Amino acid sequence: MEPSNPAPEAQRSARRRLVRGAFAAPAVLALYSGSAAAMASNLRCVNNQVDAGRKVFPAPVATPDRFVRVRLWSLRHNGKVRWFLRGNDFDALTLDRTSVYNDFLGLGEWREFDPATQRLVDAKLGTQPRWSSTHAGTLAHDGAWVAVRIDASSQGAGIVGVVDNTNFTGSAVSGLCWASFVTAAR
Amino acid sequence: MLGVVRDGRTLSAAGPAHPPDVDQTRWAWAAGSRLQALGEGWVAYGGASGETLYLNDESAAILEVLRDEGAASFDAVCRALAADSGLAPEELAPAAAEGWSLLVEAGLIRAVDAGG
Repeated sequence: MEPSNPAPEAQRSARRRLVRGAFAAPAVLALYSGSAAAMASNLRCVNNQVDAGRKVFPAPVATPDRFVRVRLWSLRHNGKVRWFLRGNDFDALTLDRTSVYNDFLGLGEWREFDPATQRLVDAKLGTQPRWSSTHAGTLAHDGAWVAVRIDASSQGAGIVGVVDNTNFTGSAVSGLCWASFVTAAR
Repeated sequence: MLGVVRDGRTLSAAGPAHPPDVDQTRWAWAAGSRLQALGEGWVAYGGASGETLYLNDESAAILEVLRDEGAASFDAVCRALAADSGLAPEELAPAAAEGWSLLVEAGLIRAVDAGG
């Protein structure tokens, strides 16, 4: 839990703004925009952060590309951890609420990802990963987030970067940038 | 009531007006969530959804209760809001329950455990 906590004297309180004797239903309005203008802004945001020194991240090349995020799976054993992408998570990605063709990682496939180097490791796995031939390890969906690019023609996805799941550090994409990204609908 | 609306389209219908959990499931801010005042309303970032959201006072008040008083059950949140609004907890619970699922779906709050 890490709510924003501005200084108390500057903090406006919703609780104090409640009308005495009344309580309306809580309302939530999603603010991100799917407009071309907003998308262009998103892409500039990514472009600005994917500089020449971080070429492990492919820069977006077409303005209609979309960015979504998926969470890494951990595989733990004896205090050690490895991180994986699961194909089923990519299969759920959508573009404008339409499923996209995904040839990056399909249903039932897994691929290891190294957050330290921000690179994919080895080839796809056709089955759920095991720690070793003798130990299954423990899988959990609790890792960092990776940005996934869905190309302009919706014909594939590519890993763009990875972020720490709480502090948004060590990433090609800042937290503010994330805030305006399209998120996958599941 | 207002559902989750994206680009002018309602994504989810209003939930049923009953408590989200009749047990003692406790709720907390989703990691990474943010809340800031903006004009007459509130802007939040859903840590579990990655979405930027506009909230009314009631939604923001629920988040403030969980921020100020820590993880709490739905009933405990209603009691806190009752003290703020001058209503009885059972009077505002149906309205709070109606929008509770929206806060969960928006990635702003999450269940942390049960039985507390």
